[in-house]
Amino acid sequence: MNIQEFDMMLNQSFSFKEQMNQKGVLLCYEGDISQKIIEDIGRIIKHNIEVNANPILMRRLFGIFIEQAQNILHYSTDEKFDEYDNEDLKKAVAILGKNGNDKYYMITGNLVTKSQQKNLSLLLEEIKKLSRKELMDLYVRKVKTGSIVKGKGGGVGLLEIARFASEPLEYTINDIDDNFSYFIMKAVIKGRN
Amino acid sequence: MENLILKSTESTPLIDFNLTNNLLRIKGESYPENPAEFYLPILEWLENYLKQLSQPSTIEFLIEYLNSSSCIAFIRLMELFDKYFQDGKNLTINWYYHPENEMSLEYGQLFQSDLKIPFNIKEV
Repeated sequence: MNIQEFDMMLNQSFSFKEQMNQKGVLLCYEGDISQKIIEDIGRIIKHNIEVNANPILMRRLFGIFIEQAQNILHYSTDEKFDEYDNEDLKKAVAILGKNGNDKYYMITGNLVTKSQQKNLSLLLEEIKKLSRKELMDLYVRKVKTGSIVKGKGGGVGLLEIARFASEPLEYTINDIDDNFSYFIMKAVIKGRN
Repeated sequence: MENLILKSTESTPLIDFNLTNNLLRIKGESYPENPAEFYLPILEWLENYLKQLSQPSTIEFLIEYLNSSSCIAFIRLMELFDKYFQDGKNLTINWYYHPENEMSLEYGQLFQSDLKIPFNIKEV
């Protein structure tokens, strides 16, 4: 890349940043997911000046990010999916932002295999039907009977996210090809209870 | 047996299990990539420790954050302490939390339910 091309790209990235600011985006990450990267982004979320001023909000946003990022990490390293050998399974997008005065959101996007897609939508549809009380009861039951073997939490991570969120989780799944889909999930958290 | 001391990391808590004063402390945040790898050796150390224990022993927690799989591992820890308490060992759990950390208080309340062992929840 020569310096003129670089200058043009820089201008484009500034205008993209401007658009993100208008949408209330506080943090945007696109790239590989590893435990180390999860810890680094987690630290950035905790130390975001605005989020840090509200400890309850900070811990919920942090918790939602950790659960979803580790879900992505576990699925991408699950031996079952080795046949696909797709490096893109280890990549994700995470956006932390603010809607209006008092609502924050965490959006994550990642590639999933068709079998993961099926599990995810079954679980999310099941969670949707639960009242707050039923959600808590199911979470407690799953935690008390769960296995600590890696990636065998039986969906307890998604229940944790739903329990931290102030509104029902929203998600979309878009077909990419015969093997893969793109999964986007949004969790909304109120700044005040 | 030797003391079990593991320094805290970004995603694992301090483990400070001291045989001389029978004080077991777990302090910090827990969200390792592989909780079994971290907690299984700790559970094994505890099993050996509790088996031979003849003095009173106190277990102190000060936990800022647990991811869901660490929460499952903590249930295993609590079940182990409770089992030995019911076998006649003199054990007490103190769960400390910072007042601004409601999540830590909720974890304490979750673990406290269903246990016979004395389980005190205390604000720091």
